[in-house]
Amino acid sequence: MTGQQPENTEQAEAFLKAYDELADAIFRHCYFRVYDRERAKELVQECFLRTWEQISRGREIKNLKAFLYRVATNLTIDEARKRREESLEAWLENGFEPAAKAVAADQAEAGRILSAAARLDPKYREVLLMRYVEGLGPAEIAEIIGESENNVSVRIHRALERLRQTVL
Amino acid sequence: MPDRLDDIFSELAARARLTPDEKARIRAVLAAAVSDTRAAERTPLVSAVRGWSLALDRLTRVLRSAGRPAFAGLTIAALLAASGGVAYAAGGALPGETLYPVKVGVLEKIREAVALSPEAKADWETTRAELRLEEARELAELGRLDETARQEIDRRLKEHVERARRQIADLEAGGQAEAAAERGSNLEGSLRLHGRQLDGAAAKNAKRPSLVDRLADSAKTEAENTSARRQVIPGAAAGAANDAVAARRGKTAAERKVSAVRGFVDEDRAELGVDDAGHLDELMAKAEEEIRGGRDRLEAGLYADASASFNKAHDIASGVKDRLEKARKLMVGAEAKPVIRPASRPQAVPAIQRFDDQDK
Repeated sequence: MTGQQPENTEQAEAFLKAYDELADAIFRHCYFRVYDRERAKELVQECFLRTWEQISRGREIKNLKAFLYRVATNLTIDEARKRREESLEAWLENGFEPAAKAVAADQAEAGRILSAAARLDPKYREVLLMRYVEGLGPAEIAEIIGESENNVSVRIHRALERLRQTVL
Repeated sequence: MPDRLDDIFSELAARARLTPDEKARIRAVLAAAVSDTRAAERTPLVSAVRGWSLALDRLTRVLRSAGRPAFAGLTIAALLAASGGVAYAAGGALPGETLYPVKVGVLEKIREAVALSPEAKADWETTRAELRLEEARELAELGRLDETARQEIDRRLKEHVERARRQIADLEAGGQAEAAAERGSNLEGSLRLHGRQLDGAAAKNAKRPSLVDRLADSAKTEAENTSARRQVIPGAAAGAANDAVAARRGKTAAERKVSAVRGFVDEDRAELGVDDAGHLDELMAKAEEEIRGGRDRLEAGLYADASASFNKAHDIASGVKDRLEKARKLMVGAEAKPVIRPASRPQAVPAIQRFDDQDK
């Protein structure tokens, strides 16, 4: 998406199409950082509104997906710092919203792994969630967090090592 | 482990999605923002102010009286999005400026309408109190704080503090003692912090220090009153808790300021020229470095040092904004035509966005 003023419907349509395609991904990105469904929904809306604001002001955005992830990440940083501990505990206690069904794989183990993941150093937790929850590849993660692809791969490897040490 | 993680995380990820209804509601807000951006930019500003204000007052009352506060919030959020350029231009207005009534009478009312829980309401009123005191500090540093502006800020400050206290009292009455204590602590810490910052502004560069002092005293008095209503924390613990709260609020204020001014610099970059823009970038980089240092000190429990860093970041950003204002006046004068420009990026909706989200 270019940074020209949004003077035509094509640009607006492209933005809304991006919303249709990425809304769930951005929601996941927010949800697994704030562990609060309602707040995650608000952050999704704010993320897209802020991005549109940038576009409408003529900002050049070469990679809309990466930009949205960066805005979402920034929006969740303070929220996650402030709320993560208590929200995570509530989340583990109450289960996943809105689906109350147990995770088929193994609720207890999932809880244990997620709890450990949530307590990793933020730089490791970030890449771990992006890789395994959001299904992003190292190249995409590298673009979003502004690191080289090689660094991201190393970081994912180290994140797994730390997780293994914690839960095994 | 990776395969196991794949299984567990994939299943959770598959469940973490918006419902079709949720997705459609957010899309409606975005569609309103997208489709009306250009129309909103063409809206005559002054006539729009009163119209929006009255319409929103009426709409808020109607929707709330209908017992649908959540719907009111959503609808009003859509209207905010639709107001586009007006909202943007008003976001950084200061008392005495044409768009200030839009900022406090429209944008902040909208934000108020979408804060539904007592916690959110208390947080929002605390933020509004901070915004008033930051406006006072900015006016003082620009040498534009007069008696009229002081009275307006003081009146609004007291209103916000009182509203925040009412929400905190409601939380306490509802048995949410911990949430109430946290909000009370935030409010008190914020008022103390901004009171001290106004002291600094009065001492350094205000043209009329007595007016700044009076607002600083007002903030500190409100902090004392808030403190008196809260449960007393004994001894050294109280000092440490207050320092921590003040440092955290200082962080929020500095981040908001630096983020706003960063957007301001980016917006004017094309008109500033390479040298000026480069110099301002260097200053902003220093401000951002101070914030990073402040965060580290905050995490290390060095609250006084953290507060000093955040305050320094705020000061640097204020200086940059001052330079930009002067540059704008020169640019407007050179063009010899009236130009209405936003004073900064929107501040009515607190800027959480960090400065490292630059597009690659």
